[in-house]
Amino acid sequence: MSEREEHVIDDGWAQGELLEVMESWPMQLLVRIGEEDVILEVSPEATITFGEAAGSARDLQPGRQVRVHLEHLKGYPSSRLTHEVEIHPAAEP
Amino acid sequence: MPKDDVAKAEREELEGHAIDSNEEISFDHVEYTWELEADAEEDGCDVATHGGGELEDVPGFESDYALLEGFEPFAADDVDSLEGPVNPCCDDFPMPESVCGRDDRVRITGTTRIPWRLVCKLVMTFKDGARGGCTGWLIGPRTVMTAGHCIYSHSHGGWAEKVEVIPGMNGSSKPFGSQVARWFFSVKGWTKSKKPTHDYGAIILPNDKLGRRLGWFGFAALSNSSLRNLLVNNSGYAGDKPYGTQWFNAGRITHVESRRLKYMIDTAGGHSGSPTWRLRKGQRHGVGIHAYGGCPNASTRITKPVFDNMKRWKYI
Repeated sequence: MSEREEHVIDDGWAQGELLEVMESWPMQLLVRIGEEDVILEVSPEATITFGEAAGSARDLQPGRQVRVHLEHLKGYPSSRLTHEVEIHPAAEP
Repeated sequence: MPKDDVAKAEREELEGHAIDSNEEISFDHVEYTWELEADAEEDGCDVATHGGGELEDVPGFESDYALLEGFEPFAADDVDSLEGPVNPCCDDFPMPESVCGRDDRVRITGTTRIPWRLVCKLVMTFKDGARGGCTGWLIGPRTVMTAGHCIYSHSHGGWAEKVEVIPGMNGSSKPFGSQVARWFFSVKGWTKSKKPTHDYGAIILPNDKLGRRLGWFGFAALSNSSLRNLLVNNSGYAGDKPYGTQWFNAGRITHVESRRLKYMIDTAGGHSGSPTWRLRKGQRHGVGIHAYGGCPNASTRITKPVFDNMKRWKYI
């Protein structure tokens, strides 16, 4: 088991609208998931896809629909991070 | 929207500027107000003060490009619009995050000079062990301004445990050393309500040695008319560049919103918290705290309530 797998707890996938891209390092995203505004950190090693193709951080633009694989750190249930972001190309800003 | 609802929303916005901190501290009660009739300015300590909207003189930086990028004469309804149009400039170019159009960022190598030495690399550590990087800027003898999300991370459970502040970092060099801070301020609009319009905060250094030696930026709450098309400068520690290097860019404010300023100035992850400043007649005043990417990129605007809080934090 890798170090990451030991410390990261899988919370499953969620979908929502990307509202803001915060330019800390690593970046943080504000995503509206259902009724809730969720802030999560995007791991620098995150896999970003844009439709069927590989995407990049530059594709993270407010207004786009995203699907994120939510995780939290073991022992810290309020932490929120993701290693996988899917951007839906259909909904342009 | 009915008048009562508008008034309620404005009241809530103002209440969002109530100070929050990771330490117990009380201030005199302040009634926050929107001003915008006149500019409010607090001078920096490098003062030879200017006034106006000029570009910093940075070798290798193409000022002609910065003067025109994203520039269109303002239409009356652009001002104060909370729903400003999103510029699709990035769509066709394979570039790093939040670089709008051509990447014309220039590395600052002389970081021991003003204003570059007033810009600080921040290394945050949160209680869950997570670490991250941002940018900050000295606004007082022991006060470093930054974005709220750099010191209060909703994705890492709240306040940072500690932040190393490194003024003028230049690659592996820390020309003025560094200090580790554990005292932070933000506002409830960010810490409780997660409002991007309230995304700002301050770091209080253990003592005033760095500020007294290096100086600090001024800051200003400018009116819509003063901000319209204003040429502004920005410099910060970009995460997509070699570690610890400072990168400059400049351009015009393309959208003046009531609580944010938008521009096509190139930034990247790690720039959060960096100063967006006006250089005018030799004097530098921060007018925004850079925080958001997405082209156009955005600063939290230093409105009167933000300005009032900065003044309170400046002389702690």
